[in-house]
Amino acid sequence: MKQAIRLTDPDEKSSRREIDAVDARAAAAGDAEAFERLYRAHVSHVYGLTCRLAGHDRAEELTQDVFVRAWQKLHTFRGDAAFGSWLYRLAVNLTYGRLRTLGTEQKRHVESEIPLSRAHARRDGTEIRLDFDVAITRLPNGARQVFVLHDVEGYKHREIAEMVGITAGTSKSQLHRARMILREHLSA
Amino acid sequence: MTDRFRGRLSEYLDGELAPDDHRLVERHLEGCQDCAHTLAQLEAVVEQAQRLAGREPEGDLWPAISARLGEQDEERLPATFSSLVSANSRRRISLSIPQLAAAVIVLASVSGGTAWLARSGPAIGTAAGPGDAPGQLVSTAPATANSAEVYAASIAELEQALFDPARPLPAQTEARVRRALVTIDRAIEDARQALLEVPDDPYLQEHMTSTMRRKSDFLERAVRLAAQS
Repeated sequence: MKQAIRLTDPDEKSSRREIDAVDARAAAAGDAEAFERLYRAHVSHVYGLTCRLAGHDRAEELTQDVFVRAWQKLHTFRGDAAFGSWLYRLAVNLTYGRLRTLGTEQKRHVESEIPLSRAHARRDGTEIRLDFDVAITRLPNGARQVFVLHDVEGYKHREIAEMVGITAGTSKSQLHRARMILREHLSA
Repeated sequence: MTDRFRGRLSEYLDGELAPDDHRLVERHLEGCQDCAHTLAQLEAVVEQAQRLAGREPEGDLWPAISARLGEQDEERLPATFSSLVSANSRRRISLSIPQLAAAVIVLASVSGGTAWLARSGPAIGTAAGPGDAPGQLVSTAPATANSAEVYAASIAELEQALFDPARPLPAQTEARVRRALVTIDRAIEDARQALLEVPDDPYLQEHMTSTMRRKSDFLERAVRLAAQS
């Protein structure tokens, strides 16, 4: 499993946003090369997001669907927010729509009760993050989704409540549950 | 009563408690090592989450995505040309509609793709194409080098009419049409490769026929739409 680099420098983020805005306008006008550049810039984030929300086995198909849907809806991207934010929101909505359609929520809920002790943490940089990723996938369903959306993706509880169809209070409760489980993983 | 506070540590950490509750938890943390330790662990979890990067898929997904974009462009051909219609362009195509119909009939008469695959291959009959009219020629002629050449020439003529430099399509429209054509050409090439391995397979022969006709149909529709715009 390869991990991509996360942009943390504000200047890099700003530059990325400007480049994306230009490419998004060109892609909306039919420029497939510009859209490919957007794909290359964001595929790792979208793939990681769909992996964490829906599981590795569905992530490739969902990632493809996200970019095809984005292509269809590019004309609705007004550029008020960063293209990445727009795309990732689209990815979350599409993933939840697909999970609801497939009726896999309950199945994943049962599967995800595998003890975290099987996902031992190793203490060397990237490895610990990979194992942390494995630990996330083994969280109970509701807790995992809220944790991914809040702590990894940075959504607020009210946004999560709207996307997932729960109350903000439930979102807070599930987040705390997830963190309490994961802290044991990091302490192992 | 440590549990009462432990349950609120995430909200405390996220700064989501009301000021009074925040101060209450803060005072508790000063005297409760268990809760302070738990809070430190929760902070570590959040830090790990924020450092998580994306993941690279095992293979490049772009070719499959690009092909699906081309299929969409093909399916949405009228919408692709809508900007031309709405702009009330005076653009005209040199190929007349009767000429075009004749070209399509010729295209439909090309056998299977075996002619395309190997010019001395066996004959395969074919049904009428969409441009056929009652009483017009519907060929069941054998696949010959000539029919492959006619097909290629007719396709070239349609493409020349569509992409006439003297009457350029808007860039967006042209890009979408070309992308759809790339997708169809890829399908034709896939079918050709499969037929090279199993030349006598009736399913593959039919698939080749339909894929080649798909290209002629697409080009015909595109030329018609461009002519009407």
